[in-house]
Amino acid sequence: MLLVLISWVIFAFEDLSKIKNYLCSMFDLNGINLLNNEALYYLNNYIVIIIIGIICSIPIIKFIKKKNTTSTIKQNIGGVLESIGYIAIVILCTASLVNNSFNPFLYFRF
Amino acid sequence: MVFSSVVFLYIFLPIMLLVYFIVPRKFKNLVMIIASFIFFAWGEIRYIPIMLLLAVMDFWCGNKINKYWEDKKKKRIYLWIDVAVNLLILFFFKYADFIISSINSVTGLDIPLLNIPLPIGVSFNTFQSLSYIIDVYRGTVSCEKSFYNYLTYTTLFPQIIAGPIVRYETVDEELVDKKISLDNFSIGMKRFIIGLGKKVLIANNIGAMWNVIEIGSYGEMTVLLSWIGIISFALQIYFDFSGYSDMAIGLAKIFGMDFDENFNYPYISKSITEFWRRWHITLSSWFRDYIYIPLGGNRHGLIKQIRNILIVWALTRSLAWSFMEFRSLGTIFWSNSNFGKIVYVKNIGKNTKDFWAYIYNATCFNKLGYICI
Repeated sequence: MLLVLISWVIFAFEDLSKIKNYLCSMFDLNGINLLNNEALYYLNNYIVIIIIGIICSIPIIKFIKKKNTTSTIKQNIGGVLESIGYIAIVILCTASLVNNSFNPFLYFRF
Repeated sequence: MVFSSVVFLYIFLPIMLLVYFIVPRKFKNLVMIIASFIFFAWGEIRYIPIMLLLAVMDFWCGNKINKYWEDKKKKRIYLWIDVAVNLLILFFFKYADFIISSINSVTGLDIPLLNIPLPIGVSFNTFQSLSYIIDVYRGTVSCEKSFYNYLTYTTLFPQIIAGPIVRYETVDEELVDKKISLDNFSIGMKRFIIGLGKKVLIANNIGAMWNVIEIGSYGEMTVLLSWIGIISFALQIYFDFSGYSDMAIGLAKIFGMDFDENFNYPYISKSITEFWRRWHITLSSWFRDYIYIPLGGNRHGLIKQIRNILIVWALTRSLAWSFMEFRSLGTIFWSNSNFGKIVYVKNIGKNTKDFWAYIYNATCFNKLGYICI
C-alpha cells in the first residue's frame, strides 16, 4: 500500500520537481514540522469522508452480508435498510449535483 | 454528457429507459444506437462520422475475413487494413499536434497546430474495435452478420468513457437477445446508484480537498498534510474510476447485458502484482491478450519476453501520458510474474514480494532518477 501511495504521488504531478518536493514532505526530509494548524484543519474537516472512503474501499459490506444470510429477520431488516440507503444516496447525489459545481471529469487525457 | 450530471440523470436516462422498454425487442438496439449518438453528440458531434466510418470498416473487414477464411494471405490483409485504420485515427487524435510541434522545433518551420480536442472515448472505442477484429481473425468469435447489431456493440454508450472494455464475445448473444427482466433492472439500478454515490458523494468531496492541498504543495507542507493529501488522492481516483465502471455495469444490466467487472477492491492488495490484478481489470487483460501474448508472451525465452514487455510498455506509455503510463506498469507486472520467478529464483532470496517491490521501484523510480540528476 505504501508503494501504491508513493506511485500515486508520481502519477498525480506532471512536474518532476513537485514530485520530489511532495515525497520529501511525506518523509519529513524538508525539515518542516510534523503538523501544524493547517493540517489539523483539514484533518478535522475531512476525517469523516476519508474514513468513509477507506471503509468503502474494502469489502466490508460483502462480509456483513455473508454473516447475516442465516436469519430471515435480519435479512428483512437488511433489505429495508438497503432500500433506504439507496434512496438516500440518490437524494444526496441530486442535492450535491444541483448545489455543487465541483464535479471534475478525470478522463480528458484518455 | 457525463453520468453524474443532472441532465443525464433526470432527462436523458428516464426518457431513454421509457422508450427502450416500450419499443418491441426488434427496435431496442435502434434505441440504444440513437441514445448513444445523442450521448456523444452532447459534447463532440464531429466524432460521430468517424465512429460510423470505423464501424463500417470493422464490419466490412470482419466479414471479408470470414469470407476468405481458407485464404490465409487475404485474411491477414483485411486484418491489417482494419487495425491500421483504427490505429491511424487514434494516433491522429492523440499525436497530430505533438508531431507538428516536434517538426516545427526540429526544422524551424511554423506549421500551425490543429488543436483538435481528443474526442471522449476514442481510446476505448479503438480497443473495442481491435478486440473484435482480432477475435474474428483468430476464430474465437464468429463475425457479426448484421451491421445493425455491430453498430450497437461499437457505440454502446455506458462503457465508452472509462471502461470496462467490453469484448465482443461478452455481449454477442445479448446484442440479439437481451436478458431484460425486473430482477436485472433492480440489480442494475442498485449498481448504478452505488456507482453514482461513489463518484458524487465520495470522489467529488475528497477530490475537492485534494485540489486545495495540491495547489498549496510548494515545499511548505507538513508531514501530516502530505499524507492526508495523498491518501485523499488515492481515494478520489479509485472512487471516481470504479464509480464510473459501476455505473456502466449497472446501466448495461438494466438494458439486459452483462459487462465484465473492472475493479475488485484494489486497495486490499498485499502486493503490487495483486494490485494490478484488481485495478482496471479489463484494460490489463486487453493488453495481455491482444499485445503481449500475440507477440509470444513468455514462450520464446527470456530475451524475447523482455522485448515483449518493453513493447507493451512503450506502446502503452506513448498512448496517453500519465493515465496510461501508470497502467502500463501494471500490465507489465501483471503479465510477468513468470519472468519475476525466473530471475528471482536465480538471483534473489525466496520472497517474491520483495522482488516485486524491487522491480516496481526500479521502473517507477526511473522518473525519480531524473529528479536526482
